[in-house]
Amino acid sequence: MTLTGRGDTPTREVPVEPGFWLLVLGDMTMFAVFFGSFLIEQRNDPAVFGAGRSDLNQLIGTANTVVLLTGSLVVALGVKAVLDGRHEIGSRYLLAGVGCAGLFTALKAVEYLQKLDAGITPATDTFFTYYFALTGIHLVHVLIATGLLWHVAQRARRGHAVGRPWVQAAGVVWHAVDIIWLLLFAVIYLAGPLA
Amino acid sequence: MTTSPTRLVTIWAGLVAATVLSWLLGVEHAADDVFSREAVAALLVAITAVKVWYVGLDFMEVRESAPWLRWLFTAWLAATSLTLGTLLVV
Repeated sequence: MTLTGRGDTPTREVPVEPGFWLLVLGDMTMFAVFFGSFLIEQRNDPAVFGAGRSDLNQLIGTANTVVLLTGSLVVALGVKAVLDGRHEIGSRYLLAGVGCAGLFTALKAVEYLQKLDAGITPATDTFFTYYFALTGIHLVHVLIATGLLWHVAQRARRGHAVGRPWVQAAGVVWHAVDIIWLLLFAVIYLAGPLA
Repeated sequence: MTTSPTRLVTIWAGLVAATVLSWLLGVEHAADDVFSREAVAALLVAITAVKVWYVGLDFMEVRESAPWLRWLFTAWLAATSLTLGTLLVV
């Protein structure tokens, strides 16, 4: 299906280049494999994983899920606005997305500090090795997505030309980071071992 | 045509409501007296899959993209959800 955007936006087949999508889906698949590995370890050692999960702060995990979803909303609105040529409002939406990333990072820092204060580190057990590694790699992804949003928002705010691929790529990367977190939240924070 | 802002806000509200429901099921064990733990775990995975579907199709604009991308995303989500759900429940 070929679509035409509003105004002077060009006809397009997919947002961003197909190769970029394969990169994003590949990254999401890498995380899915990690989550599968986590669940296999959980089946092998349900006692350790059940105890580890009970030590997590699910309230912060839930709050961070809402923060990232809210980020996805404002980023989607921002991408749409910038592509429609409404750079001022678009940059504000994208900067609101940067704000959501900041809030997410702050809450994650509180969570890490709570663990370290309780003497919990990546070396505590297998559950927390996975917890710190997966949430840490995800946090790096959040920061990369934030950098892209910041770059696009600043160019739009200053009235500079913003390439359509850059705008769409920033949005796609942010939403991919959101999707990875939704899976992480379900697997690590919520769904405990059944045994 | 792209997804309208009103639709995006509606989807966001639904995603937040689904997140709260997941929290009630996973942390507060709100349905443990009604359903088996296996059923609750399967429900958590299903809710997550629906959330990912809407983020991908509407926020990422996969819904309005080329068919190959819609199929690839759908296949990825189905494979991921079934694999994680099986490892969790079976």
